[in-house]
Amino acid sequence: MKRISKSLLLLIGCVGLLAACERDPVKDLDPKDSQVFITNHSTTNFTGYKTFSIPDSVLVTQNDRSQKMVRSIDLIFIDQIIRNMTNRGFTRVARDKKPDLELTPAQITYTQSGYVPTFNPWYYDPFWGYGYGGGYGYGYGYAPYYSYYSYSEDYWYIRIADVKNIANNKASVVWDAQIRGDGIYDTSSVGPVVDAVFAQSGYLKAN
Amino acid sequence: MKRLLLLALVALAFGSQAQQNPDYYNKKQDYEYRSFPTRTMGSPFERYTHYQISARYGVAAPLGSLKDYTGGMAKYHYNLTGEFIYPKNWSFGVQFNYSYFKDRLPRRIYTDGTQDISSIETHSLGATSIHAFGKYHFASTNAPIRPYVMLGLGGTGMRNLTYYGYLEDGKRSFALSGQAGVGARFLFSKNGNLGADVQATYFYSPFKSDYLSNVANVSASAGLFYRWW
Repeated sequence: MKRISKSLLLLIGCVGLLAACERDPVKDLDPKDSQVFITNHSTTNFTGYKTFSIPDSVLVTQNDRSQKMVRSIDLIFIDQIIRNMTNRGFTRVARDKKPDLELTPAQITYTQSGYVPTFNPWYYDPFWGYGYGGGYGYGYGYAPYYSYYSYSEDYWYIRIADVKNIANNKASVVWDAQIRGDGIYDTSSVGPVVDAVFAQSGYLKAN
Repeated sequence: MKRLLLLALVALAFGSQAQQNPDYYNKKQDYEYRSFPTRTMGSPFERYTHYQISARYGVAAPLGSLKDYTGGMAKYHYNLTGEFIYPKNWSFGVQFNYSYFKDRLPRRIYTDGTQDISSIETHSLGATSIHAFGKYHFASTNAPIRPYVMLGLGGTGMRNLTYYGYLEDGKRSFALSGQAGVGARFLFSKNGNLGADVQATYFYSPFKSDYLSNVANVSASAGLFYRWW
């Protein structure tokens, strides 16, 4: 019997060992390789547009707060967008010169974290058990379990709205892009990542 | 005086007898039943159910949908076994296997309707399985080479993760699985406790995810075993 329990212990130890050896598939991923470029576009024909306007600042949105920012990285970002749009045959004009397209460069940061109660069968919830045990001091002991979760997103966002055909005071978005991953806020990589989203959108051209 | 002389004579006779038959006195007796004629008996490994643990490391080649998904050989494949060996031909035990398959695709653009996603995709599958198995051995428990066939059934913790950059799309679940294999173990010394073990198995699990329709692989592994009773 003693021997059997020893073997059992050994086997249980092995399970722990195996669980501890689980690999992380993206541990060896180069930061540059972690970048993901997502673009959405409408089926509209972009050759119908000739001019565009773009603000001089980046809209930085953090959860539900947003502000306009002009950091040096923002200027490089805007500059690179303008360069790409110009290369595609569009002409930049001021906002009051009735452009066909309006661009919104943005950085979106979204973080959500908190505690969620998880079900504990041993926990006596006084709310549901009204009238039982109240005031008898049985309240200590089994608290509900809480698990912590955290979820965050941080990415560059570029949006192109069609301001040529405004219907019911609403402009439709004809193109948007998300740039996600590591190293996207490095001064040296802002240019290449902006180029990448334009490179995968060959339809985005004025002629 | 007479008594002393007698004792000396007995001692002398004993001594000379011992000198003439050194084996009888110096050779190790069977430590279990000293009053029993043990020399003709087999080793305890041949007479009793005993225990054996083995650890092996090796390679695994994916088959079917797993091959399409992860490409080449497994990055890691190892297994640990604990078993009860019966004196005749059978043994039963538990085997843990861990196989890890991974593949990274070069950057490419995936188009879905009006959406284009450019990313580097990482495919991975980590399979941790626990199988109860039975083995049939083809030679005696103390044979220097002892081949066997095995059949195991159990479950596998599947960790099927697909990454687009760092964006994870995964499924972690438990699935039924089984394995069938052939192998052999080699004793390092006669009646010894330690030896080598080689094994080749076919693994199958009807696990399904968005990327896999089943998990199958063939593997070969080699390692060491230790047995005791």
